[in-house]
Amino acid sequence: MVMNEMMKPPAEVLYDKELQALRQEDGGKRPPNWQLSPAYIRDFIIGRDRPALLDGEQVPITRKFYGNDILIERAIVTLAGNRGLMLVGEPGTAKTMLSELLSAAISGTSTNTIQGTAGTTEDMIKYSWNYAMLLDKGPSEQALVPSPLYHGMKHGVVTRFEEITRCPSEAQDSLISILSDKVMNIPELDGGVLFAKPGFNVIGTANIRDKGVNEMSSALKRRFNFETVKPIGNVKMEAQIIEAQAHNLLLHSGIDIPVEREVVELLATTFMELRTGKTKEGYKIDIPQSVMSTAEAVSVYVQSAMTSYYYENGGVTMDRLVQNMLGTVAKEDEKDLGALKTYFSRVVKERAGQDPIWTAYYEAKKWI
Amino acid sequence: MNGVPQQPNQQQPDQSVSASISNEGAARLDNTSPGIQSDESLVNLQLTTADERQWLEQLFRQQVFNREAGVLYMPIRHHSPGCSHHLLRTIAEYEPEVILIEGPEAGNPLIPVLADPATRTPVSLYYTYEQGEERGAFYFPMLACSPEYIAICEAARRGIKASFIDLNYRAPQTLHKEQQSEDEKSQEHATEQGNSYQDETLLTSSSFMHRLCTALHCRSFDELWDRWFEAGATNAVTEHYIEEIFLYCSLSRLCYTSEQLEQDGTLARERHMLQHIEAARQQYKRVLVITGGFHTLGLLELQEEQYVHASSITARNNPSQQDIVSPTRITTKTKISKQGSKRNQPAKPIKEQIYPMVYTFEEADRLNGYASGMPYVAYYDEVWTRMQKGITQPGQQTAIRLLSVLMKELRQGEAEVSTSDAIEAYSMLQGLAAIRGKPEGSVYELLDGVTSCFIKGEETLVAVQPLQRLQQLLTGNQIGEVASNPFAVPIVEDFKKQATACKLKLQFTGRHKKVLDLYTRPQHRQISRLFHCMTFLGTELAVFESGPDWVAYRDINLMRETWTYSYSSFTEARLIENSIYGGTIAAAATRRLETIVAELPEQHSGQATRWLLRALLMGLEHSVDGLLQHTRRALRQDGSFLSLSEALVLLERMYEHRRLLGLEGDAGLPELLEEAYQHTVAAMDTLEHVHPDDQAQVVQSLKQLHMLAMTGTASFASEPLYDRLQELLERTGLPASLEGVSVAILSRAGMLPASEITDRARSYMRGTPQQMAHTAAYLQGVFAAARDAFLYDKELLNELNSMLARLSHDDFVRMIPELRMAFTFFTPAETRTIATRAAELLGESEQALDEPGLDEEVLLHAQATDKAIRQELARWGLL
Repeated sequence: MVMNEMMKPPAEVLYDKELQALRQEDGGKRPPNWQLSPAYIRDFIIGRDRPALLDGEQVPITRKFYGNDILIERAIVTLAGNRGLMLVGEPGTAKTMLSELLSAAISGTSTNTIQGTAGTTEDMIKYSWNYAMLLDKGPSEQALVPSPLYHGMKHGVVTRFEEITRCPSEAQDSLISILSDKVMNIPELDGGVLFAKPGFNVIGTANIRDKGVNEMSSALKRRFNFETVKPIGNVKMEAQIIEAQAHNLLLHSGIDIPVEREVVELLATTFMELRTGKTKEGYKIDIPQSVMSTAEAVSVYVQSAMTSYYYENGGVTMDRLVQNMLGTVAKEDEKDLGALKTYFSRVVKERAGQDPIWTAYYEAKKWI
Repeated sequence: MNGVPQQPNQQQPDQSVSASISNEGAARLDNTSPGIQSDESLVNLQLTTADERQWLEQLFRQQVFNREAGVLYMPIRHHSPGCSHHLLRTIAEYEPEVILIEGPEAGNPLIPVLADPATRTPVSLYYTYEQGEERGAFYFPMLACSPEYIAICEAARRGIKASFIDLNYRAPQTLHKEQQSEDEKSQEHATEQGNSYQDETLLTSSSFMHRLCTALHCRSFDELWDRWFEAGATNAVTEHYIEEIFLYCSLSRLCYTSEQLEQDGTLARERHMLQHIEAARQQYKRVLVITGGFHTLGLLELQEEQYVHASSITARNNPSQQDIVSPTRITTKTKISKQGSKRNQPAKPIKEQIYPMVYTFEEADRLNGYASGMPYVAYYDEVWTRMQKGITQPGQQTAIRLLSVLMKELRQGEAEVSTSDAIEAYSMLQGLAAIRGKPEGSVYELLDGVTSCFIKGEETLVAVQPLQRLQQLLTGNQIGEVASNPFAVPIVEDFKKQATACKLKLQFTGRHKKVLDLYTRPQHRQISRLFHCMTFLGTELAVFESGPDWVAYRDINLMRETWTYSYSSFTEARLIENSIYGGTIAAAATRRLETIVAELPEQHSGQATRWLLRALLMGLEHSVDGLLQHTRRALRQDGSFLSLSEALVLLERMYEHRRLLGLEGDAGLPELLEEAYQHTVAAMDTLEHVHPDDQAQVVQSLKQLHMLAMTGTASFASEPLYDRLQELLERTGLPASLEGVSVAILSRAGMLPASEITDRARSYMRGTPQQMAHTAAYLQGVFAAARDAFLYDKELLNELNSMLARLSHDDFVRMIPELRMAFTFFTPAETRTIATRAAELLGESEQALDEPGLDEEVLLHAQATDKAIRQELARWGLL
């Protein structure tokens, strides 16, 4: 696959060099069918100071996930064990990214994925049939259309199950016996039993608090170890993530402009304060109902940068930033605009006198 | 001493360390060290610059762990089982003649008590000092796995001398205050009452340790320590183990400048320790010095300084000799002498005391905010027990046992956990140990395992219950015991004797509940008195949860008292502080009570009586005698009607309920009561000018006096009371409410005709508008003492009715709140009677009372009309 031909290349393509270099260096013990040892997978995800060598070339191992490093260690150990890994937490906390990175590092692919929706059925999770062939030749392996889970079991590859709580409970429950017995029965075939090859496991991601999700059964919960991915509690770190991700996204959209750090920091501050309901000075403010996640902040920045690039031929203006922010804040309820307005008239106004960028930001209040 | 290697790059030690860490992430100094068997970290280690490392290694070989040097230094961390293990090995191999320990030198006489086999850890030394206005207290806690405690016991076993060599007084930690997180600041209250001698802030929060933690993916210094020095400690070669501790602690120390350490008081302490070490060196051939790893390098540097100082006098003309000491060190030395002399010659005499005392696991746990030693005390205590038995992988074995205990407890609490969860948690523990390069899983892996496998769903306050329970298990609830000894404080002994007699649980921390059946079981009365005394002494032993509250006069109908209590070294420390008041709980409480009462203003009879009641609750009968005298004096000198009447109410309460209060005899209460009555009646003179806010209380007091007078006993003669009331009524400026109550009392006593109530009411009602406004206050006074006046006197009702009829709407609205207040004296049934009679008066039937004030239909009609008119007006553009 060529990277430039994809809108969003998967982790294994994006970090191909790093993975190759680490594989070359890694002499540690690996669980069967894993491409890297647990310690190297950790290094791949949270980065390390020492670069790895790939055919004499130094490849820096960058940090890809910001937050709780201990969580990464636990997640890796869980995947080497008997239970699946369930990543839960508020929307926009990079659960999906983490699951991609883990499966790319462990199995070399992050595309073996079931994308859960309200319409997901059991046969989408297990297997379905090519009906033309089924009618023609009867039930046979050729007529069987494998699901990503089937593929994962057959080849010993990690299967990702995105948004598992969006699927109806009945569909979710088809995972129960597969996860405990590591076997899939295919009664339509003679002797149709698929034993999972070592290396197979499931990484699920779930939003528990979101609207329109289904409860997971206790039986299914028991088959998973849960890890809660928390929002980042540090403005600097959040700004760093927004900067890195926005830069990547803009680059892929063919826009090569530098990311403005000042603007990013301002955006990160606003999002964090609205998310936590507390300003850095310690005052309490209203929290909008919408999810003020880092991912949303990235999208606000990218949109603003693109608008400015195409229409104004310049850097990100505060007007564009505030205009784009409106869509994010008022996603759930129009009333949330009130919270944003109050934020501007209380918090932003106070800072406006001290910093030119905050002054400009305050002037853009007219768009709310 | 001449052979001490010179430290490279002394000017900016911090930078050299920082540069080195960034070069190599996970790094160990030596491949023969304990713990980790990781491949990546053993060779090519660049944790620090090669020069610096070489310097420290050389220093270690020549000065720290040189068996031929006369003094062997053993750097340790407080409460570390790994250190204790290697300490025992070192003592066995080195066979020292004396062991010097970093600990308050005032504690030396207590060493035999600590070494006594009857002493059971956790225990502590409790040191207090007082110098003028300045006061302070310090704890020196010891657990079974504390190297200091092991050294003391081992020295006793071998018959060699062990002694503490540190200063008694410790300056408060000033560095790092700014770096404290909010959590740490909130925990500060825990240390306000007493600081720990084993503060490790400097060691744990140096920039070196921060960077090391980041590089090794450790959450905290504690996890780092566990990974390097606890896991697999028993497999390590002792010399290498100690060398590693020395190197890490030294690198941490090098992050601070001499000025910082001087300001912090660290250098003053090290100078003091060095004096002892030098003295021991003269006397003994093999001296073993046990100090926190942070101090070892400091002691060596000071030693070097002394040498240079001595030799510089002879070699003043030889500049090459003086080069050994860097300029920073010399600056330090001049500062030292100034500070040292200041401390050695205090302006005011120091009064200091030190006691052996119990300690609790809860208090010893660093996580509870005491900022010393290691967290998870119960865990490490158990690890130490296993280490002593020679069990391999003691940490992992302890973790498994705790996991099964946790399972059992969670199941008892009806949580949904299965054996499969525990198996998963254990395999997680092993997996994490492998990924972290540890030879065995320990407490941190256990915590992670439980987090992953026991918490189902999102981490919320409810979901983390297994984790909270595990934390409790890891901390433990043990309380130690000090062997009987001549230093024991009598009051503490007295408390323990009483606690044993009362069957209080003092072996474990946690809040215990005690329900006391006061009136039927004499022993329960005793426990209640003990709890009251302990509360009064400020020991925070017990909390009164429910039961009859005599002081506030609430819940008197309850038969049982419920208390919760919890014992800790805090309680014991408070007892020791109270020992200046007496040798027993009762004596101390009595003495303190007497002090308080003596400081009360002479004329405050109300307050004096209050203390008398509290004394009764504490069962301090012998003390009551003195108090009675004081109360009597106060009654005689008190001129305030309110204070006197408060005393009267309390005395009457005590006397009336004397049996419930467990009073034997009458304790002279009747005489006091009589005196209180007389003085209160006499003080009625002042009532004319009573403050409006106090009027309601005066009304109640007058009513109380009247009730006492009605008992007909000789002690409470009614005549003076009625005379005073008559006198009051004759005064023109008497507040309306007081006039009301006085008239009511006198009319009930037959001293005034019943019509007087109505007449006086009429005079208010028919008076000027200003006077009319006082009607409600007057009625309040009347109703307080004689509700029947209104219930059965038709005339008063008539008058009130006609007055209300005359009132303008605004005046009526103004008067309503006061009138409502006046009628609250009646019970619902009485209000009904009054209403019936009012209805009769107005010619309405009784049924009319139950009808709504306005018919619903009328209301709806009016609403519709209003709406129609508004619409019409709007149509005409008039609205």
